[in-house]
Amino acid sequence: MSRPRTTGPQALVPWVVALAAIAGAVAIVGVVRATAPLPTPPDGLEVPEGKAPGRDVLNCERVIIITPGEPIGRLSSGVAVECPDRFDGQIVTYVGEVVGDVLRRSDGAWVLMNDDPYALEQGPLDVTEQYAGSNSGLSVWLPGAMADLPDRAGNARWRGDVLHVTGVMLRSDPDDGGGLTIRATEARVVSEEIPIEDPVNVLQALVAVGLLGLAGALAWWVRIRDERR
Amino acid sequence: MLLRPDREDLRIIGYYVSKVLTGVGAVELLLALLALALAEWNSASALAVGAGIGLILGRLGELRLRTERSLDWSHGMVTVASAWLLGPALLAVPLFLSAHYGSYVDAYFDAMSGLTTSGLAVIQDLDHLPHSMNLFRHVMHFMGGQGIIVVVLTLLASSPGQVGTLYVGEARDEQILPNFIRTARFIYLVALVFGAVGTLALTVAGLVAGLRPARAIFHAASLFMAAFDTGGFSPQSTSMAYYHSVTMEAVVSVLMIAGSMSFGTHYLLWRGRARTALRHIEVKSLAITLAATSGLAMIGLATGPDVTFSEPLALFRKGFFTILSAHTGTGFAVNASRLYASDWGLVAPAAVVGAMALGGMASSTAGGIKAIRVGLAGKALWKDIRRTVLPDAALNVSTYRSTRDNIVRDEVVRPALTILLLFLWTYLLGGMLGLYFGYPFEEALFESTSAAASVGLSIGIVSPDLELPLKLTYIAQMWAGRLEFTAVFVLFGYGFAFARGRTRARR
Amino acid sequence: MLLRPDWDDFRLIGFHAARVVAGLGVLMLATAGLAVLRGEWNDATALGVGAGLAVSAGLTGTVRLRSREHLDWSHAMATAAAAWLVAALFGAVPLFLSGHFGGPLDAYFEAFSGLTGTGLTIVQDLDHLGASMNVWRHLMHLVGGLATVVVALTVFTVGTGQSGTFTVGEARDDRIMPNVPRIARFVSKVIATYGLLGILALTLTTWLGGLPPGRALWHATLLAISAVSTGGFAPTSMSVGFYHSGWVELSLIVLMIAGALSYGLHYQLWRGRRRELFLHLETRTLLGTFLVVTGGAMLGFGRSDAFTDAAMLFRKGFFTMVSAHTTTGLSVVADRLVVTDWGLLAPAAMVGAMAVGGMAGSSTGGIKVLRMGLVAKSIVKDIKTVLLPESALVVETYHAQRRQILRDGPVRAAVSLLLLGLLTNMSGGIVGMLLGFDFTEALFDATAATSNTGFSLGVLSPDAPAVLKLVAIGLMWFGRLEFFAAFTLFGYVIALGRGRT
Repeated sequence: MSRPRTTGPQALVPWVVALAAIAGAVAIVGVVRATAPLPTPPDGLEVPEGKAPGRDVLNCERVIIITPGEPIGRLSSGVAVECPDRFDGQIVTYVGEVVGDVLRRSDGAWVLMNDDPYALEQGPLDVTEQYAGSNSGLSVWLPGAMADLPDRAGNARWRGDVLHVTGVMLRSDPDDGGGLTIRATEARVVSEEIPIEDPVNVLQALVAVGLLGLAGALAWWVRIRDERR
Repeated sequence: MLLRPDREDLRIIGYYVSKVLTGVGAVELLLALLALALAEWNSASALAVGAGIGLILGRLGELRLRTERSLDWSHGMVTVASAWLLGPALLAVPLFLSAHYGSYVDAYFDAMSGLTTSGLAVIQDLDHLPHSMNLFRHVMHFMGGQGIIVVVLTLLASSPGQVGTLYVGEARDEQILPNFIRTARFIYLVALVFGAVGTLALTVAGLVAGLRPARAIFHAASLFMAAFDTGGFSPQSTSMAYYHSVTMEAVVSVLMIAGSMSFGTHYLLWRGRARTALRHIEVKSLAITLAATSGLAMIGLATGPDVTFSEPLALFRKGFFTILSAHTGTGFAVNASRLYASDWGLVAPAAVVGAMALGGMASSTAGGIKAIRVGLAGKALWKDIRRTVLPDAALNVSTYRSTRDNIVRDEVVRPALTILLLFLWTYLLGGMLGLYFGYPFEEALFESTSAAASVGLSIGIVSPDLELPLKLTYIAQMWAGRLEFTAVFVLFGYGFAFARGRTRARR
Repeated sequence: MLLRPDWDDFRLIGFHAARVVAGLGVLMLATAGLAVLRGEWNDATALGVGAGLAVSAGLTGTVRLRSREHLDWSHAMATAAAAWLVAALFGAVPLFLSGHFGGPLDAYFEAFSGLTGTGLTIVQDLDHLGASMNVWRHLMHLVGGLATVVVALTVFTVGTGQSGTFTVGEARDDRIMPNVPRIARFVSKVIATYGLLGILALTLTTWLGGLPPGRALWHATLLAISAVSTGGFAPTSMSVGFYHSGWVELSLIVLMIAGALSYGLHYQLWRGRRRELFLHLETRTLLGTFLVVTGGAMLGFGRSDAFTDAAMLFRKGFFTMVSAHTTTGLSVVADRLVVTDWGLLAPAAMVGAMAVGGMAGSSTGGIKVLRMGLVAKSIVKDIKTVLLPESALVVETYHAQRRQILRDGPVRAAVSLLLLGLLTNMSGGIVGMLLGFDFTEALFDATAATSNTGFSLGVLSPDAPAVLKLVAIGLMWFGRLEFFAAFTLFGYVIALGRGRT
């Protein structure tokens, strides 16, 4: 049943074709990705005052959080998870962008507030295209009327409201099944929501249409051929 | 000694791999349509580019390599190993184009993590990711978990009878029903029922937790796929801690357990034979190790110089949930990664590593060593120990119960123990490599175990800034661990035979 | 199911254990003689007390329990397990009386470490210990090493996945006692040969290294004993770092490797079959694992900048890896330096090397390369089974004295032991962690104890909690007995309570 083995340069043809096809695909993806238009950051992406300490914490005992002009220092989420003991039960200040959803409960709301560069210093990735690692944030409980402060949470289309909260950090919050939370006592909006303009990548759209067209044509041709047999 | 694979062999493999690529492309096309509906234009075009490439390459391959020859054992293994390498390459295309990944390797990392139902992620700014792209990440879990090969090939194969060998390659060695197609159908049925009930329950729980209706459905669908397929991706960066909801955690727990059960067990339960299922060595072994690891974790969390959690509810919601998430190979987290290192003491993270290493049941989407091997190893060790005590002439027979009583035999135990050992070595080796890059051993071991057992919990080493060699190592671990090594070895063996083996005698 | 052991069983075990104790007493008496010669009166009396106790207890036992019963396999296992526990009790007497130990437990630990060829030491002020007492520490290594090899070649050959010994292929029963004298004679001959050569080389090199001839001989003797029996005790607290001599280190490397070769292999070499050295599965595996762990260590050294030139790498890095892989434990740097200066990968490679250990049928500890080799072979076989046409019969062979077919039984036993080894090391690490030590450091010391290697990162020190010392003793015992002999003894005790008569 086996055909005589093809030898010589002809044997290489299918390999070359396969490699070329894959290389072509790689090239298309690479070019599309590299030529994505750089969006212009919208106005109003203001950086809240004072920079929180970074994540590279070696010694928790030495972490001092001072923000000029404020009685209580501003905590960063990185330091909070690196040194939970140090801040357990302390009154802290925390600034972050509300992302995802505002989980409204009967007596308040849970929010996830990110204080990573995407939320504060530099703005969402889609806006800046500057990579700054994974997201990082803390859970904050906004009691009573404070729950109505954020009216839009961040997502792909919006940089959400940036809140400035003062509250007690709990390493193991009994009302949240032991989660690390901040129970806000005061909160204010530092920056209102801002729409994210992510311009349509025309080249990518064209390539997509082209490739799908080719795929469709291929499927159609196969079908015709099969019917003729 | 070994026969060199000839063109026909490669043709068969290429043909089936092409089919898989077509299937992946089709799924990407569906997601692209969803993105269009949501008016997420760039996501739509990114997904469409992936779909186009997959459909074209796949269709061309199918056309060119069409064959009627049937798959043999080694073809199946090689096909599976290569499909699980190439599938993520295709899935990574839309991810890469979404611009939420620092490099193509990062996108590939997440695609491999998604397909192998691991859940480790190096995505950047997840909280601003478009919905369709986010859902796509979770669909990867579903594809990988339900077995892309099984799914795609039963839908697309011209003669589905041949697919059985592929199924074994995906480490689902138990054929519960006599006919392979009926087995596959049963798998779909289970997924469908759990999907409907689970998504509904999660939607309701999400509404109660304060999500708006549309968002609740989105979260529920994503979480269902991640939980039932023991994946571990989540729609937001803080994983399950995002929801602050006991109800959602409870529903997810049930789904995780369901996901880590073998389909054999599902079948028994389906047929109302719960008693038989409970006496199965896998169920017993899983129950024992789950109790042991969660007990250890609770002790570690509730005692010691720094008590992490003093409340029983907190112990349960954090400690037990995490162990369950680890043991089922899911990888949902209920606290920030770094807290394992900074707040959990030493014993509890060790218990988490143990739970991750053990994993769920065979023939499920869970990773790790698997309960059946742990049970067999325990039985075998006990038999060895008893051997030393019995008089020389005594017959030393030990039995275990699956659906019926079986005798512990060397030829059954040896492969089980070998795989067990390979898993342990892989965990340790990955940990050693982490040491080279200066991470503490405990943390490196945590991460390496999480990758090789396709769990997805992280202690903070896996991040977009991770060193490239470690990223590649974790990718390799997820791949090899998911396929339980055999298919991977066979792929290497095939390459070796291709280079060195004798040509097949003329027939 | 289990048969309750009757009086005869215990009598038999007691009888053989008593003989071991009596023998140890005689050796102690000889050491006491040495102490008298050197005028170390207190050491002489301490050793005398120990000798008196051991000889009288041993003789009483031998006479009272005399038995002509047939010693079957499980008896032999239980005897080995019991003998180590009891012998160390007597060996510890002079150590305790020397006043260099914090308490009876410390002395027992030291004696146990000596008799199991481990080399972990918690002696206090070793550098002011009397010379004869120091000799006694090392003599325990010698007897322990000899006993280990003999037991490994006779008792452990059954069921635990061993081969490559004298007795492969013979019928199982009736081979324990008759073989012992023959094997013991041969093993002593080999140890004596290497020991004497070693003493010669080491005397020369330490003398060249600046020691006066008399001291050189004394140091050389103790070092040679420690190296050939893959023990790990050393005459001074600085171990081999004391001598500052590359030649001393080189001589010791040769001796340690000789000690790590299986005596089955020595036997073949003795009879001129040099080819065996290259064909044997164990030699090949040893070479492979050694290259891997040493490579890993070298990467680590490169990363940590601990050493800057090749001579340093060889004298510190290579020596340490040989010492670790042969489960000896002679060291060339201070213990803590491994943690503080060697980075992370090099210590991890040491753990790997210790865990693997030397060849089966030698005095080394660890899992043994034979088992690693068998497992590797079995994985290759699995792959071939899948790759070859479904009708083909896959037979994998390996060379151990002769070509042998790889069967499921030995492989399974080997994997079981590998697994037990890993679990034991891990649980040792976890116990250390529960007691407040760093997990990695506790894992290192636990692995050292289980594999009977003398390295320590300082977890096992005179100040360690008593629980930890007990656990370490347990680990040394487990490791030395390759687990199953220990289980046999447990089994006897359990069966005594539960079994049917």
